[in-house]
Amino acid sequence: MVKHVCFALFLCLFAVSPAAEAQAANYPRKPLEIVVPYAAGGGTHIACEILVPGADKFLGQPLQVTCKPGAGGAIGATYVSKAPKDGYTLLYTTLSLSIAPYIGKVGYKVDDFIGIAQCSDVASVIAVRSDAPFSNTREMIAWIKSNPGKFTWSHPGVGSSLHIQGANVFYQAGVLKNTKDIPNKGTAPGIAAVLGGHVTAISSFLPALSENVKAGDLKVIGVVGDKRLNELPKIPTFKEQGVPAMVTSWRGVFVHKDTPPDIVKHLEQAFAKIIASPEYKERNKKLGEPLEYAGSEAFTKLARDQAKDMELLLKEMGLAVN
Amino acid sequence: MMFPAARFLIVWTGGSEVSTRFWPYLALFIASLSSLAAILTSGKDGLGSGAGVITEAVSSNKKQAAFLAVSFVYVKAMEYVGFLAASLVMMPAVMWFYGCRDKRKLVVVPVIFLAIIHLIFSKVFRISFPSWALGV
Amino acid sequence: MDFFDLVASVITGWNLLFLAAGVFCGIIGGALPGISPSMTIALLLPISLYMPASYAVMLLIGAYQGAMYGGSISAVLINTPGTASAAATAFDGYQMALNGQAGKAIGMSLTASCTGGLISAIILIFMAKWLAAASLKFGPAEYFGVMLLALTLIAGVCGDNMLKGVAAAALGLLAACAGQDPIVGSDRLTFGIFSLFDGFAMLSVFIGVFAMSELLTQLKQKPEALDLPPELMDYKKDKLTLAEYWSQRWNMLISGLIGTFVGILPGVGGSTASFLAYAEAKRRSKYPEKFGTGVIDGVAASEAANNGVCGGALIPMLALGIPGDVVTAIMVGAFVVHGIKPGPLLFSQNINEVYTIYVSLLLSTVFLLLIGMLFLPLVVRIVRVRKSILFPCVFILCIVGTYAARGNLFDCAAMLGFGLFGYFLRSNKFQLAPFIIAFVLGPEAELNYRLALRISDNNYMTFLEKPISAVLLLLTVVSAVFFVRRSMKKA
Repeated sequence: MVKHVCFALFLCLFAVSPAAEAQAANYPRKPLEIVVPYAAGGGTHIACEILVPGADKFLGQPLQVTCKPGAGGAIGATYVSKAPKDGYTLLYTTLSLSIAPYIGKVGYKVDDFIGIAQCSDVASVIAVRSDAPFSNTREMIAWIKSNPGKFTWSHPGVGSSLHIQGANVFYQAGVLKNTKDIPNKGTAPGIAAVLGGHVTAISSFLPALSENVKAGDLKVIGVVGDKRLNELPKIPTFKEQGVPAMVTSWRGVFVHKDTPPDIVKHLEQAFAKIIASPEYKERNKKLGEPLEYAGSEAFTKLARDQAKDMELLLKEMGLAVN
Repeated sequence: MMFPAARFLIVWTGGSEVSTRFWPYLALFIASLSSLAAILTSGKDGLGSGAGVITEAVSSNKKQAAFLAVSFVYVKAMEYVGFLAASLVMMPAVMWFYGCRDKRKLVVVPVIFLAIIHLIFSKVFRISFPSWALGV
Repeated sequence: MDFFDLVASVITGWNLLFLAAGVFCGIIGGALPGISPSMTIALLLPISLYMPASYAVMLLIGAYQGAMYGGSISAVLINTPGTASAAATAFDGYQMALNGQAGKAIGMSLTASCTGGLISAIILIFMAKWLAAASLKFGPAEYFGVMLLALTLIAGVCGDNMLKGVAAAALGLLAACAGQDPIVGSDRLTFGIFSLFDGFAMLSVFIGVFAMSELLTQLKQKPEALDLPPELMDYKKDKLTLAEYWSQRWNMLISGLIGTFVGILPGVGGSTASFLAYAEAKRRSKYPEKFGTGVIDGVAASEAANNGVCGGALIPMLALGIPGDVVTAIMVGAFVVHGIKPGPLLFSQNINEVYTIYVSLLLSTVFLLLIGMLFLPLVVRIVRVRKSILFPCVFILCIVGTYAARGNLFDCAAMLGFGLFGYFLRSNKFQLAPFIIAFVLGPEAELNYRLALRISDNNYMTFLEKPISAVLLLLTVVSAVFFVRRSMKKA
């Protein structure tokens, strides 16, 4: 009798485990959509595109990139937060996810998402024309104080992460109200403005500036964040120069928090493998993006903690509306 | 920690610089002034009775008004029934508006055209169209 | 010789194949309303990641030229600019199609596009570095001067009724103000509608005001008339003749130059260039009142300029690493992934790639001509479809095109709204051109005006203190006075 029961139980195991396998194996059944809430061709879009070749090996289905630009990243984020929570709609975004809810009315909350994988952590720099009368943070602050109102710095748009990162530098240095921020339409006109002497400085990510720095037309005053940049080992961070500007912009993959946990696990493992693959690393290097990986839990925590920091910072800078 | 009065940054720029409202108001002002001048100089005696002008305008454009109304319904409907379903109904209607009375064409042309458009835009250009959301 | 060896090594069979493929895809992308040139390039970008650098360059540059031309096809045939830079082409091109000269219009647009592209390619090759350095002198104050000069062209297209033109322009400015204030970031005129946070999508305005209003206007005809098969016109005669092409040579040269120079300025692109060239052609012309009724000058000017932008936008991109317009911004990304780093060091480090780019730009004009001519007879057949079938198809294209831009049904509703608005304007004899021009150029003008003021600490004299800006303002005044006097003379 006991033998029969055991045998029956044993058979049940067989019945249950394929079912569990089947649920996980059932996903993904169709290509995954990954939404980039920025304009096609921009830095974030390209950073996402380099995830795609070869991704289907690890994910089981190809990745399809869709761009849904607008409202500083909010439109794409809202779209993903309202999409079915079945793991077929992913979001690839940046720090703006945490910024946008405080600047204007958006249709999502940062808590709606959980992170799958962090792909990079991009630190911005402050760069000036090479003939500027100051070469490091101390001299820059002194110049600003002795020339109030003359220091202008460019960024690609109000509420963009570069705006926040740049403003944070000046805020931490105590000279924010002596500077004027110039919102150009994108980084390119900003670089042109600095090179042409119309604007004093620019807050930008290094890749857009690297060729000009190498050619000696622009010089970098400091780097935001903890670490020096690999491409510019001689340039100290703002922290080293006495200004604790630590807000950097991360980029990574998110999914809605109500997605089934085993799908989340599958995604996390797949993306970890994609990011660790040599082809991705190679493409990443060519693009100039500093690779920084964090798994699901760590990334989610990072995003949510930063959202709280953002709230405080934006209120202090007078940009917060909510 | 020192909290500089960063809030006054917005006030400061709003005050001595041209404000947000400047250009829209400027545009509105020019628009109203010039349309008024245009109407007055083109010989119409005043504006007639406002209501009269409007009803006259609507009645002489019944077809266009109807077409627009149907179009708005169509766009709204796409949210619920998806692009293909809505268009398969709408396109024959539009063809009717434009005078096509051949029953065969009313069916064949929309099917072929919509199939081609849907294929090109969704497969080649990877645009995701609204799809059936009624949960049938 | 080293130079010829390099060039010869670039002209390989596979390279040319990808160039042709790029032009082909570009034309299709450009012709479909809603698919902008930047979208087309963005779509080719992932494919280009899989191939070696030279193929990628050929593909993308070919697509760029093709897309700038492709927009004119739908502008001429169905009054729906396939790309924003073909809006000025629609002014005269569609009228030509209505006059039975669709083949001539598309032929002119094709040849003008090639000519404009060729001009900008030559300028790029010989004057890139020098021009890039000169373009840096343009800051916000100078940009404002350029925009204001372009806005005076509204005075030029006002035609007879200056007041109505100004009113339409002011309405265009108003429509452009909806959205996020560029300086402060707060939203204005959005009435709480989330989808309006970035303003009205340019395509919903264009497609609505041009195509949709045309569709509504056509409804005025009786159904029986719309259902008639079109009269058999003598289609053999509907070709561009060599004499006609030659008569436009100065027009195309000047427009190509305008396009190149506008392309050099980062942040301004095809639509500004084509409007400026159109205005300038109208100003220079001996029969300005005919513009808007279907003259090839209008088509030639607009198309030469918008393809001129291709070479022009590459100048700052190659010389300084600063993309000249949205499409080149995407190309920078693509090039960087392939190891081509645009910037001041490009010429010393990657001279091979530079020559690849030069050659691809030059040859793309040739391929554009060839492939365009292949398409032409096919495409012109569209005018032969009876209206009762053509217009419903156009309607669906309008909806799909508007939706494609942002994936947003609100844009479609906005497009319908603008269609109603455009119809209303037309019925009351207001001109549409001033509205469109002000809508496109207004925000740029406003942004640069306010930036210039902010930089100079609210010194209103800054516009006169800076030499380039002062010159531009002077030209603006002269140009405005010229136009006003001309229209008063006629009255």
